[in-house]
Order: sequence, then structure tokens, then C-alpha cells
Amino acid sequence: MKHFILFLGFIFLFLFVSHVNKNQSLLTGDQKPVIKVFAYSSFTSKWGPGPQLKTLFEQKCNCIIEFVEGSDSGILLQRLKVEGQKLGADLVVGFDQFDLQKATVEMSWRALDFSKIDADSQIKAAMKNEYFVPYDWGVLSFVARKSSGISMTLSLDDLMQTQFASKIALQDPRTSSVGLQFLMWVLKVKGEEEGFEYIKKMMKQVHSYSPSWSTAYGLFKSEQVDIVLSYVTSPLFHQIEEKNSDFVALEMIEPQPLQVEFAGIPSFCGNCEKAEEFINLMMSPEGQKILMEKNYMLPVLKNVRTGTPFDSVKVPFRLLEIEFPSLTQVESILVKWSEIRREASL
Amino acid sequence: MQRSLLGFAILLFLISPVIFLLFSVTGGFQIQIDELLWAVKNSFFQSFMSAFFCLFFGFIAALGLIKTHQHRPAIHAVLVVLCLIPQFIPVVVVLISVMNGLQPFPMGLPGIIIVHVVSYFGMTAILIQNQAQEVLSQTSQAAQVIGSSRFMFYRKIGFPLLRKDLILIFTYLTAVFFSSFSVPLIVGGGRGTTLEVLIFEKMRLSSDWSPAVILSLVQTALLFVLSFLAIKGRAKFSKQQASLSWLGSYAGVFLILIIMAAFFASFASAVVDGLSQIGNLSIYGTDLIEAFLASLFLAFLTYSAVMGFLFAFCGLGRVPHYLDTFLNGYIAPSTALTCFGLLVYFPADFYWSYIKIPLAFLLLSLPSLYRLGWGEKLKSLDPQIQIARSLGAGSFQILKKITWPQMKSHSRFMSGLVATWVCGDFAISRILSTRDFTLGLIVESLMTSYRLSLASLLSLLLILASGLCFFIVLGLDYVDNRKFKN
Amino acid sequence: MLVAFFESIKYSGHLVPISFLRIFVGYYYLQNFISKFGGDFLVRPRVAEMISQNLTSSQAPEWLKWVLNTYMVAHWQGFAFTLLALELAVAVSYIIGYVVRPIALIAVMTTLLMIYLSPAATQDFLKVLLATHFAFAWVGAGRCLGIDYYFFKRVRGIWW
Repeated sequence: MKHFILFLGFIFLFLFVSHVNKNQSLLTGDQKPVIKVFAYSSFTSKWGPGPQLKTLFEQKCNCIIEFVEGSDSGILLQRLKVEGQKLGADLVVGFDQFDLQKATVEMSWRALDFSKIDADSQIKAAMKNEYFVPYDWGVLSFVARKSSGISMTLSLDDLMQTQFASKIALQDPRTSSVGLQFLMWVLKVKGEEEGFEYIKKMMKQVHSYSPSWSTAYGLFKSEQVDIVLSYVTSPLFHQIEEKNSDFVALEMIEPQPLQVEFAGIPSFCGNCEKAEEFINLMMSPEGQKILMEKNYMLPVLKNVRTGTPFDSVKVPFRLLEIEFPSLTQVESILVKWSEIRREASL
Repeated sequence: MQRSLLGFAILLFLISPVIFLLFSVTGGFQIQIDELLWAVKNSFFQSFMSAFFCLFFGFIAALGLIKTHQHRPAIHAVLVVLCLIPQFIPVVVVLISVMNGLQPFPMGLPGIIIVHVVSYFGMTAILIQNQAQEVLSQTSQAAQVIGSSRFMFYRKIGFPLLRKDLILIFTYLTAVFFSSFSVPLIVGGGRGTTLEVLIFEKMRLSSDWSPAVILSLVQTALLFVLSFLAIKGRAKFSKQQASLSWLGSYAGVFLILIIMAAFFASFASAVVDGLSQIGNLSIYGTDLIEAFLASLFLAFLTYSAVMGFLFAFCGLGRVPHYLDTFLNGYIAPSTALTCFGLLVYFPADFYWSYIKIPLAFLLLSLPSLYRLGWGEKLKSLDPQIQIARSLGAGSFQILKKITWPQMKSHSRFMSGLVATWVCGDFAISRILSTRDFTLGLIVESLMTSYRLSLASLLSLLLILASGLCFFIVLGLDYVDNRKFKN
Repeated sequence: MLVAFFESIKYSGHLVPISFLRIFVGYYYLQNFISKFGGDFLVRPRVAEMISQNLTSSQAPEWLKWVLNTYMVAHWQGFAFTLLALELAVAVSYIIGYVVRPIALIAVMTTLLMIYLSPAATQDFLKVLLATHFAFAWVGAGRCLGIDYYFFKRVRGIWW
């Protein structure tokens, strides 16, 4: 009996491995092409915009969308470099403005035409590149609970008050793009020298630097901290999904930074036209609405917000200009930040 | 000759991630010494302190296990399960529970130490209790008869006899905590950056992985030296299993109950939060069932891989000295590096995840399993193997008739342990797979999209999968033992 | 094992013709397997088409029809994989003569299933094949020119 079971087990395993290894792209006349989209996990998860966009697109395109997940844009880029060509990546979704330089240096991309996109005026500066199209954006701010009694308008210097000691959750700029946004924001607003002095003081003031946005937000939700760096649209999630209006995005006195998310098509794409069509869907009013409602980010196209709960989101009047810092610039700033962090913990 | 080749092949297999990366990585191989020293300092501090407190609380808890071992077997069984629960539960769940329970939670090195102690004190207690049972049985009866007090016994006999085992456990724990990744990453708060977290940061920031590879080699070398210094052999153990209950204390029982009650209370509150949004899980539909089955299937594949490897290892007969020294000192390179190494050298299709993930767990957990007592048990069979060989028995015969029947049960337990870790994993799976196909990955997706309460709720299902996995393994062991006896 | 393989001609020589038939049937199954694996049997719902086209007019029991229609059509990929794996198992087992008896019983069940699922034109051939598998199981066809002889010498028992 043992022999029989082992033999059958071996046969099944052998067939499984052979099937896996076999080249499955039998593109016969009636076989649908598979468009491989690299994206971060919250885009492709059930809650994200990915599944709905996939369904919509597959109805029209006579093709199949297959998502390949990375946990965030940093890991995504690494995966793309290691296995993008092997897997046949056709589209990459989820870069922010700090990733673009690195993406351009490490790989080549297909040029895209943005001329027909009727973008919000605040986001037009993000179009100043020929390879990556912005599909949504967000304004960063601090999110707090109304019941905590914190003032609704703050400045960066107010965060140094004793009421905020060990009550602020920030993200590590080395592992989180939101954390990097905060660092660049401080340096932009205060200048480099004063900015790094501020960061030194913040090292003692902050509760922790979490490795990702979700970890920091988790600390905030479990009431370990009073405020967290997040998006102005974050309170809307709680209002719509949890019916909880206690959360509010604070208005900062300084101009607030924008985070823009981009999509691009690698030059080694196999289904480049279909990938462009998918981007066109993302940039259509229908696609932008899905992205807005699922990602809880602001749409790039004008008038998509009108008549939706997102219309009530107060986009700060003063926003920082979108910038695309160079790789060396970002690296030198992070090296300096790491030194400050090291000295603070010694 | 065949055994030498097998030993060499095992060694090569274990260091294959390092070789992969050394060949595939190009770059300056430059590191910042200040940063390295700072991370090493943090790593040593948190690992030593975590190991120390683990040993301290583990010893007290072990007294409770010793007290109940002979005369209260039912309570003892419950305490053992409670002690092992943090090992079965995914790290993310342990973190959520501990952070929920302690408010405000101290981020940084104190936080890392607290989470490590909660996760490992139970397992440490079981290890200490097992060692105490083996080492102290012979002398405890005599001491009891002549009227020695518990304190005097431990002071004059117990601690001196157990000293080497305690040092071994301490070293093992230090090595585990030194290479811990998720806990310092999440709870470190940017201040408790260890070598492992620094490696991850280097890999994430830049596509030049050469600094990360160097850091990983430094970490491996440091742990090797540490473990090498601690290997001075164990106390001889006796087969006599006397009652040690007079050496135990109910304080240990209370400690276990208090810690686990606090743990469950905070976990339960997170789950109750999630219950209010249970309707939202309907979006997953049958995907949850498929993910549950996929997690179990992955665990089964990992179990088979580890069992297969341990079986092949037993084929060595007597473990060569160089391999034993290596395994007692070696720690697999960083989780992130190992995973990226597998990404580079294996095909990228989704179905290969079912091979890459078990392989990653095999590479990462094997040295720990060896040090967890599996190696010692194999070495204890040396006299039998020597006799068999001198009587002319062949290698396969020795493996089939002597080594494997005695190692089977222990191997099954170890493989089951790794399989339960796989059930709840998301860190390795996130790097190696291309979609959310296991429960751990779905929980992680929920966490990254505002839905933390639902993540806590779904982690119940994770615990169920892990528990089911382990009990299937125990059941297999039971059936096999019964069959063997009959 | 190799010695036992050839020794089996001497001690189970009466089974040589059956063994040749066994190897031939094994080769037939292997050819089928290769053409299905190389084609789209696992990729397109061929087996689901087979079920929907032929099951209604077949003489299968009602409960089997219900099971096939309800579960196997929906999970055609798993069903196709299992059928193909069993076909490969039969092929390898018959060619090398290993665990022939239990595999022959498995082959009987799968051939019976194929009789229910196949069009009328192939029914007669499949019935002959069914009888052949029975014969292999009955005589223990792996004992001659097969690895089963090695185990039959040492272990005995009904399965060898």
C-alpha cells in the first residue's frame, strides 16, 4: 500500500511540476492575450481599484488582465528589475514622483502621449515627463481625532509642543514614500540647514518612524498616537466605510505636499497597445471614479469629484509644487537623515 | 565516499543563497562603517536582552511545567499548548495583540524585547523543562530523600548541571533574535534598527544589493563566532525520568496564565472590533476558502520538503564534525536576500510560488531546527550506528532500521512546526508570489488598506489553519506510532 | 532489482505474453498522455465539453451524472489534471511493471468513467480495454518483466 501511495504521489507531483514548467502561452487564433500589470498589493486586492478596472477592461478588450503584486513601489521596482522581462510585464502601476528618476535610470520605458488628458490644474506639473502618466494624487497632512482636542490648524513648529511629545506617528523615509514626502516637505519649507535641525528635534518628539504608511496608521487607529501623517482623504474612508466622523485632516499653515501616483509601460512590453488601452481606461471618467472611490485618492481629471463625497474634501489652498528630485539628491538627503537617526539613538 | 558527498551537498545547499547572490550581485560592495557598527550594537543589545529576559521568564514558567508534569498531566498539557501558541500564531497577530495590550507601547529596543519575550518565553520554558527532566532526574531523588530545599538544590546542583544547557538555549535564542526581521521592522520605530532591518533598507533603497550582501555575511559571521564560542557540549543526560515536581512551583503556572490571558484579552478586543465589519468579508466570497486550502497545501508541501531533507540528512549516519560545527553556528542569510536570490534563479510564473516558498522556508529554518535539538538527537544515535557499521550493516539499512525509526517522530514535529509557520506567513510569500493566494497575504493586504480590524478578524482563520496543520502532523505521528507498535 | 527483473522470465514465464500486452497497453496510455499534455487538455475545458455532450445519453447511474454535472464541470481543471495524472500513472506502471495490480484497479475505474463519458463509437474499444485491465489485475501482470517481481519475492501478499 505504501508503494502504491508513494508511486501515485510521485506521478501527481511530476505532472504538476511539468505542467507548471510548460510554456502556457499557447497563442492560438482564439486564445486571449494576457496583459501583465505590476502593481502594489492594495491596488490589486479585492478592496482596491484593480479588480473593477480589470472586469471593465476585459469586457471590451478580448484579453485577460493578470496582476503581479509587490508590497509597495520600492519592492515593485526591484521585482520588475529581477523578473519583469521574464514575466513579461506590460504595465507598471504605483510609482510616485520619487521613484520616477530611479525607474528611468534602471529601465527603459515606452513614450506616452498625454496631450488629450484634461487634468486638474494642480496636477498639470506632473505631466512634465514623457513616460509616466499620473492616474491619481493626494495631499499629505496630519490626521487626528476631533475628540482629542487638537487644533484644526497647525504649523510644523506646533508639532514640537509638549502635547505632541511621543504622540506623532511618522514613516521612515528610507522604506516609505510618505515618510520621504515629509522629509522633503520640511526641507523645502524650512531650507536644508534649518530643516535638518527640525528633523533632529523631531527625532526626540516623534513616537516612532514606522516602516510603512499602514503600520503608522495602525498605531493611530489603536490610539497609540494622537496624530499620523496621512492623506487629506483618509477621514473620508472612516466616514463612508465605518460611519465614523471623528477623524479630520488638519490644515497646515505651510504649503502642503502632493503625492502623485504614476503608471508606465516598460519598453520590453509584449502587449504594448493593450497596455496603453488600459491606461486610457484608467484615465477615463469611469476609471478615474473607480480609482478615486477605491484608492481614496483624488482624481487627475477635472470634474470627476463633482457630486461625490470627495467633493467635500478640503484641498488646501496652498500646495507645494510637484518636484522630481534626482536620485543623488534623494540619496544624500537619506544619508543625512540616517546619520541624524543614528545620533539620536546613541 | 557517498556519505562525504551527501554531507558536502547538504552544506552547499544551505549556503546556496549566499553563492547565488555573490555571483549575481555586482557593485561597489561598499558599506558605511558607522552605520554597520550602530546596527550591530542594536542587534546585539536587543538579542542579548531579549534572550536574557526570555530565559528569566522561561525559567520561572518552566518551574510551573515541572510542577505539573507528573501529577497533573491534564493541566500540564494545557500549559504546554499555551506556551506554544505564540509560536503557531503569525507574527503579525502577536504584534497586534501585544501592541493593543500595552498602551502606550514603548517603540524601539524596549518594544522589540517585549514582543520577543512574549513570543518565545513559552518555548523556552518547554526547552528548559525538557532539559531539567533529562539532566536532574538522577540527582533530584537523592536530594529530596536527604531533605534538601529547592533553593539549595538549584544553587548547589541544579544550576551547575544545567549551566551548559542554559547557555546553549541562551545562544540559540540570541541567534534567533539577532536575525529577527518583522518585529524590529515594525516595532523598532526607526530607532531600533538592527542588521536585518538595515539589510532590508539597503535592498529596498537601491538596486545595488552589494552592501546588503556584505551586511548579511557580516551577520552570519558574527553569529557563527557567537555560537562557536558557546558550543562546549552539554551535560550528560540520564534515561531515568524521576518526578521533579518538588522542584517546581505554581508561580510558574500563574506566570504562564497571566501572560497568556493578557495576550488573549488584547487579541480578542481586536477581533471583536473586526466582528462589527464581518459583512465586508463577503467581497472575498469563495476566495477565502481557496486561500485557506492554498495555505494548507503550501504547508503540506513545506512539511514534505522539510521531512524529505531531514530524511536525507539522516542518511549521513554520523554527522561529520565540520557539518555539525557549521550548523551549530550558521544562520541563513537575511530573509529578504534569500527570497530575492530565489526570485533571481527560479522562473517567475505564479505556480512556481508553490516551490519557491517551501524552499525559502527550508533554507531559512533548517539551521534553527538543527539547533533546536534535532541535531543532538541524531548525534545521540552515534553509538548504535557505530555498532551497526562494525557488524557490516550498509548505509541504507542503518538509515531504514536504526536512524529513521528513531528520528521520524522528532522530524515530523520539526516539519510540522515549519509547516505551521508557513500557514501564517506573509513576509516571504509577498516577495516570492505574484498574487494574494494565501490567508497570510490577504491579512497583509487588509492591513495595508485601512482595514486593520478585519485583518485581526481574519487572523482567527489563520490561527485555525496553523492549528489544523499542527494537529494533522500530531495525528500522523500518533497513527504511525500505533502502526509501528502493532 | 535489475536481476529480479530478468529472473522473472524464468520463474513467471507463463506471464510473458500478458507482460507484452501490458507493456503495449502502457505504451498506448503513454502516447495518449503525451498528446493530451502537449495539447490543450489541461488548458481548455475539453473534459467539461465531453461531460455535457455525452453524459445525458450515457448509461451512467443518476448519482454519477449529478456529481459530474454539478462538481466536475465547474472544477474541470482539477478533474482534467486528475484524469491525466492517472493516465500517466497507468502508463508508467504498466511499462515498468510496478504496483500493477492496484493501478490496474484504478485503470478499471477510469475506463468505466470514460465509457460513460465517451461517444458510442469508442464504447466497444473501451469495453475491451476494461476487460484487459481486469485481466492484468487478476493475474498480477507486473510479476513478469516487471519490478513487482522483486517485491513479490520478498513481501508476498495480495498487492504484488
